[in-house]
Amino acid sequence: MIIVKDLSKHFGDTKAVNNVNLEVKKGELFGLLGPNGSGKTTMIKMLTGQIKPTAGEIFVHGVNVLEDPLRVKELVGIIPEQETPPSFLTAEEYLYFVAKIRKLEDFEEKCEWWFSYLDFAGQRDVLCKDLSRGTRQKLMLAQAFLHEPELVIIDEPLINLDPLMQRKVKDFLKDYAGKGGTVFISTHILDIAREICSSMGIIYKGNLVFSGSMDDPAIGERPLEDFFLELVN
Amino acid sequence: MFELFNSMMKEEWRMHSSFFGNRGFALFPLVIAAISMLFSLSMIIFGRIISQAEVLLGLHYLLLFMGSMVGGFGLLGREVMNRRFGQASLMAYSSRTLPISERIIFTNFVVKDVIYYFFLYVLPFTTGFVAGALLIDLNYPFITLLTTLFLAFCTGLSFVFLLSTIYANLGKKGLFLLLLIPVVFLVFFQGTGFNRLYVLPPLVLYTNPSAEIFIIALALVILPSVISLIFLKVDYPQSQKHYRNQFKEAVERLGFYGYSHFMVKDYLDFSRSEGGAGKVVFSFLVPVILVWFFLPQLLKVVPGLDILVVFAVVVGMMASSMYNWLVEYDMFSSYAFLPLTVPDVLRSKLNSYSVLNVIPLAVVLIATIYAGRLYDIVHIVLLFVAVSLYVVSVTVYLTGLNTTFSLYSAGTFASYVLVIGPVVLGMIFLAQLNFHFVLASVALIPVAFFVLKRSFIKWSSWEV
Repeated sequence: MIIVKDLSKHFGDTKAVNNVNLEVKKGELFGLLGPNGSGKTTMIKMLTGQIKPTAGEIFVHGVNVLEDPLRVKELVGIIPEQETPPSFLTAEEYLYFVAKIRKLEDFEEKCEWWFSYLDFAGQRDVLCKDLSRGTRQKLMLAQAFLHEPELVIIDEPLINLDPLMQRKVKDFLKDYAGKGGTVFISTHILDIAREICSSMGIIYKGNLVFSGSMDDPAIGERPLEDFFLELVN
Repeated sequence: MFELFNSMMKEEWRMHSSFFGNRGFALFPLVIAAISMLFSLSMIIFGRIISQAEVLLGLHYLLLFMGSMVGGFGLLGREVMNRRFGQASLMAYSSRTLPISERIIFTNFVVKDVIYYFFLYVLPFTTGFVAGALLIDLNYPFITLLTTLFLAFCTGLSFVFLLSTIYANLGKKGLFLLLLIPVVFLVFFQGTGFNRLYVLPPLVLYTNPSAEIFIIALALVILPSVISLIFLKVDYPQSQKHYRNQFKEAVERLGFYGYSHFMVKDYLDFSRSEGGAGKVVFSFLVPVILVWFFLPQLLKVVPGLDILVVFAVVVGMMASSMYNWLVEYDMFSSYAFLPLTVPDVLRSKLNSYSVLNVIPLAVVLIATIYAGRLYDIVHIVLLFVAVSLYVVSVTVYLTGLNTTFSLYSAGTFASYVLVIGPVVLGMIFLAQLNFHFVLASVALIPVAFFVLKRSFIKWSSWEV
């Protein structure tokens, strides 16, 4: 579903991502782990065609991201790190707006389902600028799944949500992957990866220092935190 | 205390230079000086219709207005700044996280604004004006003028700080109080032929300097700020508003049009943001009406000038400010993860711009009919459409989706003036030779489309 070959992104002298190779298969729930500033968000922006790499190739859904980034955005559901829905639309209007951009029919029931599932129907008529960060995060989750994509790429999926909502979203993502969907998440919260991911990569100072399944022998019986700290120290 | 002031100065500089680049922003005072110099040089022509007293009146009220704009940004610019930086990231809000009182922060903020904008606006403006005047043998005492213009600027700034404090404390009741101001203003000036405008203390200080008037002028600066400090309240009254789904209804009605969802979104942005439809009145219709009343004065200087042609050109240029309204509250990062490109968003804004142009078009039509020139309507409308399209295409090319801030860059602003100025002046000149030459403006339309095409290519490589 995602193939990354020799991918690099440099900002001046800073090597934000350095010669990364990676493959994520269909049905996987892949977690890209790394400390703050390690290159996770830059990776996601390149995977989704928001920024161009300095070198390398990316194929998402079989589409060359460099050649056709728009097609990738059509196929994939994307949740950026910063939740920035337009200020002066209400939550409901924003979902309708996204549906129109994605040229969706019969989306109203799906919107209702998301309002109900993530428990924010009460805020549907509130302007996005007045929503709490948690509610904006819920809204961004809803917009990413509105077109029922086969692949979803999420930057820090649970960071603004309360424990109850975190549980719901984790259950949803596991269920989604269980039904054949593919999820690529980036996070620096190791417990999330341990709990829901089937495979992971660890990125540190732009280098992918580990890639494999959660049962990889390299991890062994150690807590994920110990394994992670060994790699990044 | 000084550390906070120092940090605020750095914050202000870095905030501006992050938009325009260090060099672009550093050169901005030179642009201000050049504009004010042109302004004073133009007195060679306008000196025949405007007295020196009126020039000084205009200068002081202009600086008063600039001060109000700087002060008003704290009140009206919050949406823009919050959208770009987030409230918590600005030092003005640091009392929430650091052991510093809001009063100390606010005092530093006001002093910082006064000093920062003295160097950014007041000093270059005065220098440019006095230097230009010297070239045409008009002598203004530099230090006196700098002092009185600075006082006028500070009066505007301090007064608007007071208004924002009233608004912060009283909310909607405060708004009623603010609405009373123009009423009081009108009563004050009723039947006086606007002579009372000359009682502005900084202006009186220039014309009839005395210790008493200096104290009054200073008090007008200090008192509103002190009152603002005493009743200081940083958080403005905000209520969470609820809206029914107007987007759905409007898109259903306009469903036949491919860009309907963008246009509806732009309309909702426009009507729900601060100022709402009042923006049309205050930033477009009022200036247009002022232009309409001022233009006949030009006949005294340039006899035979076709006022209607000049009006159509000026309205065409002013119409392009509507593009600025459309992009003001949007950021491409809101769209970057959706199947859209920057050119898609630019096209959607241009569609909305075309619809909004119905307003200036109506103004031009009314003016044409009012002038009894119905037989010239095709020429005038064509001229207006061509100028509006050309100016907006240049705006899009130079500033993309970031118009408000980009035009503060010296280089961008200079390019803007150089690319637009000769063309519109050329159109007016052609019309003087022969009115039918106005039809040459049709050549601007393919040029505008070409510039727009280049803009789409230019901005498509822009990354969030």
